[in-house]
Amino acid sequence: MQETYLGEFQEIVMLAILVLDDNAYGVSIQKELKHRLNRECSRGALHTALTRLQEKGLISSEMGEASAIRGGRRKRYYSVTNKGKVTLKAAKDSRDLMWKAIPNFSLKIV
Amino acid sequence: MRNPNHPPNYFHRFLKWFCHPDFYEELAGDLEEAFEENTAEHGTKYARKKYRKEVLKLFRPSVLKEFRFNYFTWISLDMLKNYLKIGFRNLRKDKISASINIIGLSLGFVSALVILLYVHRELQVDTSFEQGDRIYRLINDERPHSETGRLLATVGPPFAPTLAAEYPEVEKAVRLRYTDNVVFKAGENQYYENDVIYADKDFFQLFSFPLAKGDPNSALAEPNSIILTPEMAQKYFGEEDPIGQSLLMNEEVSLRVTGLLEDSPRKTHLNFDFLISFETFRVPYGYPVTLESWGWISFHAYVLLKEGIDPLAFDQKLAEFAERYMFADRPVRASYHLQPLSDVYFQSQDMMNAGEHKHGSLIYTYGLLSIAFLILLVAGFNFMNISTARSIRRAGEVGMRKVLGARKVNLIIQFISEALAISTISVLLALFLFELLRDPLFSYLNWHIDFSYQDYLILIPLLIGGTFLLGILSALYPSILLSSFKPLQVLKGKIKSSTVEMNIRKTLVVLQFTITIGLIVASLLVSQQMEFIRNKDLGFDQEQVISLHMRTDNFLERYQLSKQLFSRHPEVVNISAGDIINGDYGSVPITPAGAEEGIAMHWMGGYFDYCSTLGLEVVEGRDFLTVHPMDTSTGIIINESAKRAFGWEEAIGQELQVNTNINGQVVGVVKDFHMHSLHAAIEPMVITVPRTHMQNIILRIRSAQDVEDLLTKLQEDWLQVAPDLPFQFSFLDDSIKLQYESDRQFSRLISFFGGLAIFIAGLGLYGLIAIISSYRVKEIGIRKVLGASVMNIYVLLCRNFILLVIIANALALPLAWWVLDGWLDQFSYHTEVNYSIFVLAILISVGIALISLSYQVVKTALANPIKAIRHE
Repeated sequence: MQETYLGEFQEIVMLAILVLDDNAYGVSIQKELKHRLNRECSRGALHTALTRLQEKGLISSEMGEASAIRGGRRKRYYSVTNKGKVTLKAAKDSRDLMWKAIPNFSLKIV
Repeated sequence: MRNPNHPPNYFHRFLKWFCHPDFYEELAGDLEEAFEENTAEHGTKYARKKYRKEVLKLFRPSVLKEFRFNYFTWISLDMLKNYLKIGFRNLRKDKISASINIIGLSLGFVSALVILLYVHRELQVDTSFEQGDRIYRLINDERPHSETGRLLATVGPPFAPTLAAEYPEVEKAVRLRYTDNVVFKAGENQYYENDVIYADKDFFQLFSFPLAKGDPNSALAEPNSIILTPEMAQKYFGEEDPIGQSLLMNEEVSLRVTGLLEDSPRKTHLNFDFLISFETFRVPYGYPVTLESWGWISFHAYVLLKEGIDPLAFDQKLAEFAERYMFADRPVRASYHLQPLSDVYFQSQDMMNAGEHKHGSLIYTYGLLSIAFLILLVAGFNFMNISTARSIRRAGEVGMRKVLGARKVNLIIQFISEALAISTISVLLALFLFELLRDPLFSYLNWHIDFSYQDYLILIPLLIGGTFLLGILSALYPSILLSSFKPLQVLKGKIKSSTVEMNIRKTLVVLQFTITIGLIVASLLVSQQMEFIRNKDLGFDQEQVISLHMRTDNFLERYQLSKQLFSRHPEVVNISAGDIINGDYGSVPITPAGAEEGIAMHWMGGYFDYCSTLGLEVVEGRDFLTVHPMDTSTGIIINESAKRAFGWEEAIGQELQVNTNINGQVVGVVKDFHMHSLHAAIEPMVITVPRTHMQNIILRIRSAQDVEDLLTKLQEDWLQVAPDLPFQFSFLDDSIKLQYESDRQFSRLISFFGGLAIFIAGLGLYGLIAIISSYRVKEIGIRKVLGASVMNIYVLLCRNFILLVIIANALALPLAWWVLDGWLDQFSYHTEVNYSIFVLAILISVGIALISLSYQVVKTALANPIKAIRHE
């Protein structure tokens, strides 16, 4: 499982999808990143990340219903696959491991 | 409109264009959602800005559709074949439009070809010398120093050699002395020659003309050496090898031929048939100068600067050089400059003594280029107009192709390739026509172009480029129009000409006629000016004057004899000798008694009865007369301008010093006459009996006599007068006409190409009305059934076009007036632009339009309405 490399931005995007549960699509993900992390990202950058994740099989997507507010265009909803969840977990675990290994006080900013 | 605050349209369309269809819906949706939210929160401006930024950031590989593959399939060989096949079928189906397009374009290409050839040759002059970019001519500018100062293309004889000796910047320097009226004799062959140059030995190091025979470095080194052009070698020595042969000059100097030029076109301003070594040159009899006279400003001097020398910096040094040498023995001050060789041909019109070499005219050269361009434009507009007008006929095809999956791009490519096929056919036809018409056309235009196929080669890239450019440009609009038809409407038969299309068509017709009318006005005005020149009273009687050239050391003796012999013939009215018109422009100071400084004036030489023979009107005093033998030493005749310049109340008897060696009294005043062409203003002038040898016998003959017969008699007498000299005569009016050769050429050109442009524009109108009236057949049928007369129909169909032609007149006339006024200004004496020309231009243009329209319109109007209505 460890060989699936996860970029930092990709990891955050996946986490945002999990946060948003069944309302994860382009605009909502952008907003989530903005509100929680104060992080601006363009739709283009997001698109690239989502495409990569989907290629790796870490997330899946399906088209939703048409709605009136977007010029009648449908949304694409994203969800994290089991493989994705495992990868996220592994990433977190490896980080925790490293965190725990840090001696006390060394986080104090000097 | 779903939302008044919609996202930026072009950016949305851009996104739609580049975005992969799999992602388009979600991405466009997301952007629009964000846009709406942003609008609510931050306002439209912010939202639009954000939207634009987002779209641009989406332009990335992961979002793009696959372009390359698609574009590749747009042009396939099979489809091209199909396009051409359909294209040719269409050509055959509509023969009128096809032939109008092709004829118009080929005529356009022929004119472009002819003009480009000419212009190309003009621009090539003096470009073939190896070191041409380092060659400069020395010019002499007195204008900054004196009001009557002149600008001369020449300097004194010691100038160039001294400059070369003193300044290391000068690598080589060459003096040229042009001479005319030289008699050469080799065996039985004896002729007068005019294009003779004395040249310093380094001539070929500057002007690298290839020699067929002889050594360029030494051929002009020895005195009495001469180099011939192949034509002259042929003239004097036939097929014999000319090298080493001798040529007798002016019955006294024997020259040895040391070189023969290669038989290749000499594209240069230098005007020569013979080159004689400068060492051979002797100061002509009676000239009060030597080869050391800095003030004898009659020598063309060229210098070759060393590599890397800045001509501007060197130009500065000439002032100091002149200060040191020139002004010691000469009171007239002048500035000296370097004129780059590349300017000599085109930019010497205003210089004195520049008339000895060949000239080009930038006005005429670029004028012609623009005419070629305008004619091509007129032909191209025909093509565009006819294609758009016909587009409705092809709407069905377009609709069908679209239904079967053709994209817009496919259709555009289709129509452009059709247009390219047509313009290629036209170019081929044009080449054929050009071959056919070349000789008669060139002789009509009086162009002596020794045409080589090399010139063709140079034109080929231009021609191919032109074909493509014209084909693509003229097809672009019609093809975009045709390809944007909506298939559904087309197949339902609901297509109509849009107003935009109509407006563009009208604009093009107006432009075409504006150009055409401009050319009509130009040719009318130019020929009016030529007429003006023909009829202008020159102040003397140019008809019935014959001049006989006689260059000899005992001119006066022989002249007396010839006078006795010639006066036996009753046809001969008067006999005199001297300069013929335009003969001398000697510029020596003419000083009235008591004045300190002289005035630069023209100086002509004439003998007894000079004024009565040339027909100059004597307004005060008298002509030179044999009863006043002292006239040969002290007689002076001046013109009215000179009298004004001196400010004399009474001219007769006033003392004058001409140059430094003639002191005399004014015996007569002649009315101002045009001694130069009408390009130049009349200037003060004096006439004296020359101290040098005269060269012309002038005869006034009775009009309406058998001139041929008289000439035969004169030639018989000549054998007694000068058996050793060739009998060479010219008519004064012919010589005067020669002054306007380039103007007459321009006049012929502009009427020829103007006529061509009218023809092409008329052709276009004819094609257009044929198509348009065919669309309105049913309407006209119904009108006729309801009682419209043929006249009503005629007016109905023609009205709009005539209106367009009148608008074109309104545009063209002021424009043409403005341009042509400038052209007229180069003549000091010119016809006035008057309204009759404009009226004539309007009549001609409307007339041409009516003629082009009438055939089709009358045909349509006369047609049986039943047939028209039964059309469906």
